[in-house]
Amino acid sequence: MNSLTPHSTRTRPGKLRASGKLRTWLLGLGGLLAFLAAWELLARSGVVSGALIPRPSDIPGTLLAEIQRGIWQRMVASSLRHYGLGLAIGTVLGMALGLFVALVPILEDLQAWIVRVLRPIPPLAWIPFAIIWFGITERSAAFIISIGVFWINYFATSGAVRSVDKSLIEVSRVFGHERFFARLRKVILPAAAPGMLVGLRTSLGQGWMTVVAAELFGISGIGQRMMEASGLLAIDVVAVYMVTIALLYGLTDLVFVSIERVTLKWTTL
Amino acid sequence: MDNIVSLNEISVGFEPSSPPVMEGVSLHVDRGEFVVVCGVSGVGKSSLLRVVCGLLEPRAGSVEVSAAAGASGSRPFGFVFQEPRLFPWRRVQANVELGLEELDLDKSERHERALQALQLVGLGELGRRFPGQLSGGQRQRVGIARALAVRPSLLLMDEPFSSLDAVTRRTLQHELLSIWASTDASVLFVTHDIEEAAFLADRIVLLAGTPAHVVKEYRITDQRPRSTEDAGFQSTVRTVRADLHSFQSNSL
Ligand SMILES: Nc1ncnc2c1ncn2[C@@H]1O[C@H](COP(=O)(O)OP(=O)(O)OP(=O)(O)O)[C@@H](O)[C@H]1O
Ligand SMILES: [Mg+2]
Repeated sequence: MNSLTPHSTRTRPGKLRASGKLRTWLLGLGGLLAFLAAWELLARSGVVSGALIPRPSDIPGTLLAEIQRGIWQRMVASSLRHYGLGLAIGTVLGMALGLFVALVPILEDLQAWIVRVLRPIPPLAWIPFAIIWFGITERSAAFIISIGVFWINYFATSGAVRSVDKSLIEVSRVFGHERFFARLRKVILPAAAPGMLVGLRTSLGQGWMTVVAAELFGISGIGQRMMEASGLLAIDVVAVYMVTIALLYGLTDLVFVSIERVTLKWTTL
Repeated sequence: MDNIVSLNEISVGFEPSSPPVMEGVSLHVDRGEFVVVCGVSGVGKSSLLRVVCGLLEPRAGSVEVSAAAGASGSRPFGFVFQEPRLFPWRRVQANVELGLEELDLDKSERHERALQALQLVGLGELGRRFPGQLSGGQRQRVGIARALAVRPSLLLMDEPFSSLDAVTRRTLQHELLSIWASTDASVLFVTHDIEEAAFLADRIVLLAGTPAHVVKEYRITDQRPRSTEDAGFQSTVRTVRADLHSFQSNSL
């Protein structure tokens, strides 16, 4: 009895973990399939008119048609450009200013009311300014995307930098890292990295959410195509691009998480 | 004699409005001397070490340090903090190399010195781990290795062994004494354990009172290695303990 118990507890956790992971995947997939099946049934049963919701089974065909006409590739490519540019600008500025504010004490008070005034303005409210400043150009779309991204990174970075453990900064001083940049590189940035990356990850999603809105006023991309299609009541085309955005977001998030898993291995120990 | 550090009538306080936690403390460490500071919890031992290495500015009094005159390839201070204070994002080896990065050493020398220091504390095999993968006592020993690796002129140690078991503690005490004896380093060591103080010290400095000040000093000339069986050792422990009790109850 006594000799059996440790044996069985020793072998179980490994198996459990492996099958647990598979189980999570299968359950996730099953849930999605069930959702699609319910949707399909609802659309076919006639309870809801076919003009109101597209059928999931229509989507592959519509997608194929969009790809064959070359529209899908063009729209995805230009949305990716807006997204990439807006994300890069918003992230770089947000992180840089967040870092700066957290490191310079008087900026903390100086920025408080500026931030309170500007922060609640939704990215879409900037559209008129974007048009006046940049015209109907790709830069306009990137600008609008960058606004939401900026705020998320600004708050995440300044919070993360502010909460860096002061005792570790003392350690670096005692051991000879007196210069500010040495301390920044060796203590502040690595210690703040996990918090900063949470901000970045949040903004990856926020960025895709604003892509559509940023393209509503005539800049070519997924958003514009969706507007066009909905004007023609082509709801299956709209759905194709909704799915496209979901997939693109899923992909960016997956890439992000796998990079994070390698670089921030230490946080999971 | 030749002082490596001397504090003159320093006073330490935190909030400007509140009374100082320490007042009129004078303390010097001779070159090559092993000084142990003893006192109850909260009396100001850690603060004293922070004053010595410049992390804490005293309210009054002066701090003179000649530790800077160390050889190249070494640092004036090595500090073992009361908590391990490792960088969790660095592997153990890189943590120990922290103090070597601003010295004029090339990569392989840094690596070699850090490895040596890790071996001294019995962790030569664990350099590739992250601090999160170590036990509490192992982490503390990495902190000790980090301080030893810089070959400091003055080694500041804040209760470095208090989280270790009796066997490991005794081993490391011997190790510390032999490192100290084989170099010209001085040690300023904080502990609340009087036996540990009597085992290690050339001189014990007793800190007590509110605000804290140096209430007594004991010069110990017994030969090393000392043993808890020695009559000299036992009488030192008895005397210091009795004094600590009387000073502490007087101040209440
Ligand atoms: N940052 C701080 N702000 C305010 N008070 C502080 C601060 N650091 C320490 N103190 C106070 O100063 C006194 C001395 O603290 P210190 O850490 O030096 O004590 P200690 O002798 O090392 O105690 P222990 O043996 O428990 O480590 C304590 O009363 C403590 O509350
Ligand atoms: Mg202390």
